Amino acid sequence: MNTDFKLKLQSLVDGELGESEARALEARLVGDAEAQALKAELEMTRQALRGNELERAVPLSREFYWSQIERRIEQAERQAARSSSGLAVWLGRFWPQLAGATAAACLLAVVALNLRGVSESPWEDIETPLAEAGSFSFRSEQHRMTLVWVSFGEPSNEGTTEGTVN
Amino acid sequence: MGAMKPLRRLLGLSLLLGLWMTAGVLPTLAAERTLEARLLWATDDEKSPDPSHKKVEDALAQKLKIMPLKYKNYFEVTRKIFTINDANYVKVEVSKQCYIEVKDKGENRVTVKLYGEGKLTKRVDSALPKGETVAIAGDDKNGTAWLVVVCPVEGKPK
Repeated sequence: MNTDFKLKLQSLVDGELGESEARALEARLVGDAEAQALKAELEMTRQALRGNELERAVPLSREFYWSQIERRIEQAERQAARSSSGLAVWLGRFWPQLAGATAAACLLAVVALNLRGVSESPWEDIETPLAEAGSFSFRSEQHRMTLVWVSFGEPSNEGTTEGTVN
Repeated sequence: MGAMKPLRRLLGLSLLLGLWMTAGVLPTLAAERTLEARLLWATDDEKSPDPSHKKVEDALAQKLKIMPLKYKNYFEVTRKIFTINDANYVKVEVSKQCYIEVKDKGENRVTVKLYGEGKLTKRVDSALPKGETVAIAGDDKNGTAWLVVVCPVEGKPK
């Protein structure tokens, strides 16, 4: 029993098939016990649903009920239109002040970015041209100081304490 | 009241233009900067054999304390105030054997070249805004050390 046949059976139970098609399907059912069982189950389900469905009545007339919905929709639309026009009026009145404030904010952002750039990356380059000289550096962000230690000959950290130089 | 509206708009535009110009022009005005270079001698001794050396006891001493250096005391050998520009290197003699060349790289950055006995020993490109300090240092005789400290001059140079 394929899906098409099952759907046809459902249509038969729902009374959606034409007379000739219904007769042909009924004839097919005669020798098919499985199909008969399915049809019986579908009919039982249909009856159970029909007989036990709760009916809820709206305590208002249909027209009154829909008029309320329509009124609410119109009210919401009017409110949206009013608020958008209010914003336009406000922008029109205060745009110079807004432009000034925006420009000031942009300027502050530029300054902040510049300052951040300075504190995050103080070093661009350290070069030691002498082949026999080596170096290492130490930076304290808190005290804003950078130390570059140059050593000649063998790399040495004679003048520094151990473990704190990077 | 009608005449006020264009006036207010003009005021707003002027403010906007002013801020934009300030942001663009200010960095270019800082073409010349005054810096200070100090040659220090680092030692564990309490006194320098040269009475002209002055013990470093200002804010720099506090900064040096947190550096990973083993020395107890720092003595100022020389101090030079100089002005740098973004066109040429400015030469500053910190001792008979040693001098630095400093150039403004713009946007608070500088290049410091350290020369020892006429040879370029070190070149450092660094950000050097107010409050920032850069020191180039190395070993000296008998477990002592030298430091060339460069920082911007705050307030009026003395």
